[in-house]
Amino acid sequence: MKRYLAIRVAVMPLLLFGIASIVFVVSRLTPADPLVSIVGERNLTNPQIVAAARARWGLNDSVPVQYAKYMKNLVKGDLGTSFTTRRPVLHDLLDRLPATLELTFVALLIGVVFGVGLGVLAARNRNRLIDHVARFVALIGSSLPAFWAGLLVLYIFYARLGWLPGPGRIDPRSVAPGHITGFYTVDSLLHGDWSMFVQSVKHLILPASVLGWGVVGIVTRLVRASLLDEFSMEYVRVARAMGLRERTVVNTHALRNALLPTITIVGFLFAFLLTGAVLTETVFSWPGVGSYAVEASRKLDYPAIIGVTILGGFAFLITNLITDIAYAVADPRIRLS
Amino acid sequence: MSADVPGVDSNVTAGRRPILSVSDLCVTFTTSAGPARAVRGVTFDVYPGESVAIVGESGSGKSVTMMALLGMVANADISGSATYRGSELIGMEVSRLRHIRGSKVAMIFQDPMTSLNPVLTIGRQMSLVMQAHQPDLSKKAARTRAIELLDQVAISQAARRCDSYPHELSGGMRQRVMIAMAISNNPEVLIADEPTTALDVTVQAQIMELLGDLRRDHHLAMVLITHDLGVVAGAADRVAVMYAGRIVEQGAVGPLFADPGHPYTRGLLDCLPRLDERHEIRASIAGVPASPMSLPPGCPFAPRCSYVESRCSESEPFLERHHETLSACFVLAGDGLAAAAVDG
Repeated sequence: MKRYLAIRVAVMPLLLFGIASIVFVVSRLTPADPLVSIVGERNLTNPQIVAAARARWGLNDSVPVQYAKYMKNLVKGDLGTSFTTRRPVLHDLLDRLPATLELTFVALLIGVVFGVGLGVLAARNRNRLIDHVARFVALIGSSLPAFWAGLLVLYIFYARLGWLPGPGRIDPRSVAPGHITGFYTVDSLLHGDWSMFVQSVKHLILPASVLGWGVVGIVTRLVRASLLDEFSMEYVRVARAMGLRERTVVNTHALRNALLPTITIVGFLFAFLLTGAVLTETVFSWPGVGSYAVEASRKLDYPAIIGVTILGGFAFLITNLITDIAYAVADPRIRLS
Repeated sequence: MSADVPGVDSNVTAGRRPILSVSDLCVTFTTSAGPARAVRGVTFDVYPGESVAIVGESGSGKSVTMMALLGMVANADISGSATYRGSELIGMEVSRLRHIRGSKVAMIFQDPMTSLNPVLTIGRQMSLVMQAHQPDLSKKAARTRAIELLDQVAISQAARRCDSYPHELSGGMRQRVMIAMAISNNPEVLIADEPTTALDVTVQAQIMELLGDLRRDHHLAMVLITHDLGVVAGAADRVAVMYAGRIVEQGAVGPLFADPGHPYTRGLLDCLPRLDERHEIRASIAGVPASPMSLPPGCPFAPRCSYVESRCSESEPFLERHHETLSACFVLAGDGLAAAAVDG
């Protein structure tokens, strides 16, 4: 197992290299010219400015030369400079990552807690009303588009009822807590700023719920299906024949096995949400990686696009690794081999 | 069944009440293809400390009978009665039945490879069974008791095995674990559903021996469900042979083996390999078992029976006295009675 993990970690740089190469090539294949976003439409007719910009951003080089330069910098940890923010892409990403991570963690927490709960409830009451209701809730979660659900909850809970704050991580007039982890909830607690903590939690509720609802949809269906599979297993029959409480049969015996596939999907969802929470982040003006990616693609900001993609690839590699470790911890049959 | 019934050893039963009493038990599954009459009026008693074997082909209803009395059969109509020490089990709420399952009446199953949860340790699974019936049992005490039990079922290095996962044990060892689990709450009745079928032949004998030892040491009553009459000979006091959801013959092991009164029993006995004969091809019973979906009128065994007469397909025979057994056969049991009458 240890050897296996060591190999997995060792090949990671190679995989990242591959990911970066593919994205680099694909982004250069787009026919549009990033100069528009660099110099602005007005200056496009000014040959001096255009020439200067080309030289400044290395766009005069052939694509292979650009590629070689990019890769050389990448090895040094330099993701290049964004065309639009004019800051190193790495800094942009590190600035935005905590916002996305915080949102993703909370969304996953909501998704897993409610998803597993609903899944168990549905499986235990198979084909009864509770089952149908749980599955309907799950279905809505995974089929409602996030931008629609996001606008809907904003309308209801912010605009109409006023129970929760509007978009953003904090109120517009508030000042963010001093940077320690970048997680506002954690930082505000570390600073002992209770009202800031409450505020940031309130701001998290709506976007995390919208994002989490989608997770609930996936997890509920998965848990329900795999629990039903487990219920037909012999060991469940044996556990019942031995007089175990139904609660113990489900929670201790069957669920342990049914959660194995859930580990995989949650790992995948985590990596996906890190870069894929685009719509939710946009609707809630959440200053995260997703909205950064949207901006970058709109402006053909190559360095930023590639940076986000590499970050996404990295997230997938890491979560896959963690998923495998979690699997081994949860399933003794894998631990040995 | 009262004490004068043939095959019930009066020494065992004298002045005692059956611990488990099944009477006219019927189980009908509702399937998409219509009702399947899996068990059709089964009656038998189990007395304390005695071992009863239920023998039959797969689909004869032997397992369903035992599952039904523990309330473990779903999607079926169940009628008749099954009592444990006088309390009716059929229709009992699961919350009450739970206290009998695994505590008073424990069951072990055919396939030890799938009977244990792959992701929990042996010790944990045993503890769960004990704590289900002894809620005050501490984790530590449960573990101590689990090691003790594993020792009792002759698992070496019991303390280490306690922390093993099922896949780390052999089939025979897993069945020993199942047995240890089943006796962990000191039950009075042990139902063993084909306990050796999935095991190697050499291990089969060991498991049967272990069951016999435990039965003696713990004064357990046992219901042994099997399709193998060979297993029955050394392990049971009484035998009930089931066919198509009915008991077609029952009696003490000796008389039933020596002088079976039902053609089906005779057929099963003929199928056994014997030391004193060398058959190149072992005998088998021709035809296929009767389907519970479409039973023939009359005796369900008639289509496969070599003694068949015209009356066999007209009405179904009930258990009647045949020498020292009870047999449900017009031809043999009837003749047996007649012969006895002539003799007398």
